[in-house]
Amino acid sequence: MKNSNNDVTEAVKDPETVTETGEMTEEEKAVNKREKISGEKPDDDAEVLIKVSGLKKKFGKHEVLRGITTSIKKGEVVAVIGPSGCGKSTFLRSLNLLETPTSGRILFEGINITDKKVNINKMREKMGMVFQQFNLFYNMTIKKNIMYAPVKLKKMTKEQASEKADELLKRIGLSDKANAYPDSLSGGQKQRIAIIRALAMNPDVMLFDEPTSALDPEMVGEVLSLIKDLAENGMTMVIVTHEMGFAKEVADRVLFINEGVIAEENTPEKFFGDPQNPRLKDFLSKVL
Amino acid sequence: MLRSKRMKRSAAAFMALILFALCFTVLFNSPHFYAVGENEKSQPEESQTEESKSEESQTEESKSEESQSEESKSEESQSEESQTENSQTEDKKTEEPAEEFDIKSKTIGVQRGTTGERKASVYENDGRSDVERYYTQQTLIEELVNDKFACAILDEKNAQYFESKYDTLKVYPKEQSKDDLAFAVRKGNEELLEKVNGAIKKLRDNGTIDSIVNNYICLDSERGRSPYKKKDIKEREGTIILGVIPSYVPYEYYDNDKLTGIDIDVMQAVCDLLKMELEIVVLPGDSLDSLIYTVGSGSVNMTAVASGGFHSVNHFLNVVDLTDVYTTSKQVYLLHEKGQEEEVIDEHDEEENMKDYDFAHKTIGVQLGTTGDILAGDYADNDKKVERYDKGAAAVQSLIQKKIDCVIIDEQPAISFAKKNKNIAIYPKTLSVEEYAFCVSKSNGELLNKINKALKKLKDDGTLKDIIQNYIGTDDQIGSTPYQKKNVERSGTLIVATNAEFPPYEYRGANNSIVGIDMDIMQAVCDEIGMDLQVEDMKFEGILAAVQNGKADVGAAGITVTEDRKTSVDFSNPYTTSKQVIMVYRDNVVESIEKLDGKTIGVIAGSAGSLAADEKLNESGNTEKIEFYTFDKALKYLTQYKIDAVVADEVFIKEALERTTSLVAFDDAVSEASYSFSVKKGNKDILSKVNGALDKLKENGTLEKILGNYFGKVDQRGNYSYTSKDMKRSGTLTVTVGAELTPYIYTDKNGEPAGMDADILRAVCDELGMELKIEMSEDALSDLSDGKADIGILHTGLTDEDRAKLDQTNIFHSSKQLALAREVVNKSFLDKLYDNFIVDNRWRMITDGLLVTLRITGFAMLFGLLLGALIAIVRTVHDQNGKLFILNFICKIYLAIIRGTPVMLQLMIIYFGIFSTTNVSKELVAVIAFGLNSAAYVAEVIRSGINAVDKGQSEAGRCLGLSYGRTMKGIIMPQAFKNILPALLNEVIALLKETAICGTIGLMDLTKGGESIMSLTFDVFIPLIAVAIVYLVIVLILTRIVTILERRLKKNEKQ
Repeated sequence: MKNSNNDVTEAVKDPETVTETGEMTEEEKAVNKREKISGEKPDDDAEVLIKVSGLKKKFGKHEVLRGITTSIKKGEVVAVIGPSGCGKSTFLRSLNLLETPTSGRILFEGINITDKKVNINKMREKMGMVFQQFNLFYNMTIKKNIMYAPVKLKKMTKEQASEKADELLKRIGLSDKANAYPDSLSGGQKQRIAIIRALAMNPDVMLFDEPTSALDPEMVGEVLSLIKDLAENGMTMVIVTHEMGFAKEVADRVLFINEGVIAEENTPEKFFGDPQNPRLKDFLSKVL
Repeated sequence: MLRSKRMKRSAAAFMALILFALCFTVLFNSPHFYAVGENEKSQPEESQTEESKSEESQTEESKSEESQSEESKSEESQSEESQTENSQTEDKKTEEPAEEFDIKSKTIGVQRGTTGERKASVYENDGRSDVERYYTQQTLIEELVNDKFACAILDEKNAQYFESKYDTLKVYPKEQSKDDLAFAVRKGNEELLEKVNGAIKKLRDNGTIDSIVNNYICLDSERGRSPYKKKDIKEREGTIILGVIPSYVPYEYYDNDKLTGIDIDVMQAVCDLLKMELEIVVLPGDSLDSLIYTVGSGSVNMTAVASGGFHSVNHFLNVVDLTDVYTTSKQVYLLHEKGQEEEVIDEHDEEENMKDYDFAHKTIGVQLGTTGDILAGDYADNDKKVERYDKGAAAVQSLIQKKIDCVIIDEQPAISFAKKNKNIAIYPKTLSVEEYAFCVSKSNGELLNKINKALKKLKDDGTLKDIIQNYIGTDDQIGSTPYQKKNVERSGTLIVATNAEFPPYEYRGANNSIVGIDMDIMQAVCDEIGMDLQVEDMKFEGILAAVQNGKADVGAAGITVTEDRKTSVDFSNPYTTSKQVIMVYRDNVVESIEKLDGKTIGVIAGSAGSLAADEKLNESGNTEKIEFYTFDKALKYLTQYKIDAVVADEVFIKEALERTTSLVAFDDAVSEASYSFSVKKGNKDILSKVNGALDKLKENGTLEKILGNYFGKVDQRGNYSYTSKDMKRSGTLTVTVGAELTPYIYTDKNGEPAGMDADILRAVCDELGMELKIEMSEDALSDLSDGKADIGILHTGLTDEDRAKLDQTNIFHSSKQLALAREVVNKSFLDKLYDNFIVDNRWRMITDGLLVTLRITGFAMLFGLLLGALIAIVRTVHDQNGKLFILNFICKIYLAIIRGTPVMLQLMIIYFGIFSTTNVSKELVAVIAFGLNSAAYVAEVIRSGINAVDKGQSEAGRCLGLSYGRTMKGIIMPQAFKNILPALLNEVIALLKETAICGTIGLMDLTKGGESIMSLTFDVFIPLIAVAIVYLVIVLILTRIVTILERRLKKNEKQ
């Protein structure tokens, strides 16, 4: 976690990356072209929520993402797996611009969020994110954690937010913790609070960054079941995970990212049942 | 007679460089001259061409020998001129007996461009005097009143005006110079000479000339009010051409490019009268010779001259004639008479015989910036070190600890220090006497005048004396005449800067108010000039600066007038004198008579006590004996800790005990003596005669009266003096005196024998009908045995062997010599506490100071926190996303400067530099200074706090769509603050302690409160410990509060 933080800072500072973002590479131009073409057939893209094309990310000299192109449809649950350091977290964090891409573009609901003119804060309101380390606000009570953003961003009044928070807390069975501070909660509870905190904003998509990796094994279940619950309710989700079983069960599609590119992409059945990529085969043989 | 007068004018007139002569001629080419008149200062010349010298001139010769040398070039005037002499000169003779004012090595003040300046320049050029030149009369007079120079030379009329205006100014009775003014006409042009003389006479008679002169020689303000106007005469016949060198104010000079002056106006008037045209020709150069010869030669129609004293030069008068004198210019000395402090002169006499303190190889301690500092610098050389301390108390403390050998300090505090510490005392001989005055800004002459006037009034009506005595008088004077603020109408406020750590001149009195001699005088001055008094307390070093830059109107802090200080401020007339004394390490406690050996003992010169001190109290050889002329003076030195005991006759001692508290006399007599006269052994005749006479005198009470005159009660003493009866006498009683012994037998001012013995012997002789002859003798004993004398006064120095050769008369007086010392007071700790905190509510200095300290700390912290947070945010934003580059750069510079310099300097720079000209409350300045300083440290603390908050917190916030600012404010900062609370508190604690330097800018904070008590009680230890305890308690409380706060915040998280 720490490392990645630093990386972000470096990335932001690195003037090279900034200039690169400004210029369009050959590849990007190609992508643009394709978009224009696809624009002529709007029906094809009607259900696409996020469209990623030619996404590249460099941390210093190290190129973490080397051109990722994919799209996520509305209601789709996409699981992203891959060996450590392959770039799967960076990919996810790029989706809401927590990491600024070095090049490539990301269209969210048809808007190019890599464009500097776009108010990223507005976009993020519709993209909930859940972290490995929960990142609850330690200076606020649980309820305040949930209510803070909706109220401050004028999405709801205080009363509405409070109602919503109560409803969400009830849903996960933690109503009694409403006025507790995060430090007094268990990891599983914290992560579930983190999830409903994101849900309180009524997002169009939820991004999960290894939501269960920091949890004790006994707490993993409660978190996964909540996510599954969301999936069943039709929430669009991108989940970076190491829980292969969970991915198989919940995902509509599984991506395997290796060395900064999508090495294989398929339905869970085919992905796990008949992997093509030798690296994936190797990977699966180790984790399954 | 007249001729001699003429002679006298010559020399001085020359050296004084005044010259003017106006020459003129008429159209028909007959040049005439005018010549300058006479000068009282003038000497007979070395020139022997003069055929006669009058007696008068000879009498003056001696006075002005020094001036002769430079006159060598000038020559004696011709006697032909004598007819031009007028009666005025004769009148002046009455003034001549007055002594010439001795100008040697004095500074003369003059107004620029006046006759006075010319006169003074001569003295300057020959190195006899320094000359100060001023542009206006007013400043000239003001500086004279301020004693900037010894005397001013100015025109008599003006001098008289100022004499009447200022009581302290006096015109010196003898004039400095007198110049008769006339015109010069070419020799032989009798016609013109007559015409002009006639005109001059008329003009003088009708007052025209007077009014012309008055228009020029008058006060600055009146000059040019009634100029002479050229008459409108249509038909003018002929032209008088007047030659001038226009460089002589006010006779001929350019005023705004217009040639003007007395001579010009007078000649215009002459021409108007004669119905002639006036043509003025400006001549080149400034040489008298050229002028005279231009006239004389006739090559020009006319000539004018400017050169004083040319009249006295022989060869000039061969070529020109002088007209009648039309006016006389008299220059006089104006002096400032200082009211001499009698006491000072008096004490100087006493101290003349004392040894100077030996500074060799000594380390001198002084308080920085005081007169002592300056003096120490004078005395210091390679052998001696000067140690400069922030406070007088610190220097004295070092002396007590023997780290230094002596301290140069003002007398009053020195006495107070000696009172408090038994190991130090004051060296008897005063180092220097100095004058205290108030200072005002150089640009505020008006205020200075007002203050001087008020001071003069206060001096005259005795208020000044009352105020000073109320603080430093005798025991019964102190506190008896407090100054009462008067109820007068007031407009405006007089801001007085002082340093209230200098009792009794200014100190913190009851309820922490600033009181003292200076404050009372300033109040009295304010009452006089009708203003409100506002006192600003600050460091002594800061006072002059405050006055200079207008933060205060007046500086009143026992400020000694020094040349250095005069360059930056103006001083009022001195209101009192003070002394610089030397404090030395010396046990000043005398508990018993045995302890007197090796001490400093005061005695009356030549008295039995003096003898006793030598004989009985100096076994060790270390006893310092100081002789005084009067007992009271000795007593004064005793109470001032300059001497440790006084040995004198018991009568004086007992009386002193009655008058003065806190003194103690030892029961054991230093010596006991019975007084009788001696006769040669076996000289029964004389012995019985004298004894008989003594018995009679005892019976009729004469003896008692005589004794009472010397050793009686106070009211008896000095009231009686025995006068010899007028009677027929036969035979002589010869008395030989072995040694003088005050008050028994001594030689008085007139060289006559005086004293008790002399009186008794006179009475004895009256009884016996004999003449009395008293003789001082080298060897009275042999005089007696040789029969040269009948009676011997041998009170001292007799051995037993000697006594065997003598018979003694009846004893007429016996006395004891006692020692008087200061009472030893041992104060208990409780007494000290009482002194330090209870008396005058001194505890309020601590509590008031505490409030100031807390206020400054509180507000500075608040300010620092806000500014610090702002800086921290700028820096963090820059660190995190590279924005705000310029702001960040500024912040970095700010941090570097503030953290790289001492906070004390920052405070001083802000107060004395940045806010120097604006009148901002000192507390506000302190808040700003400490706030700015604190902000730098707080900023870094906050920044580290922000950095310490988990990055995930910020990411989580941003992911919810919160902006950077909102995330910062709502999520990061609250967590950061909790993290840094202990660090912030440490900053508060540090700040609280740092504010102790507030005293630098004169704020009465907690530390300064302690110092103020210290300066009042001269107790170094207790007030400082008390202050330290207060700080400690506050810090402990603060620490406790934070512990509680931290715990509570922790609890919040873990609920």
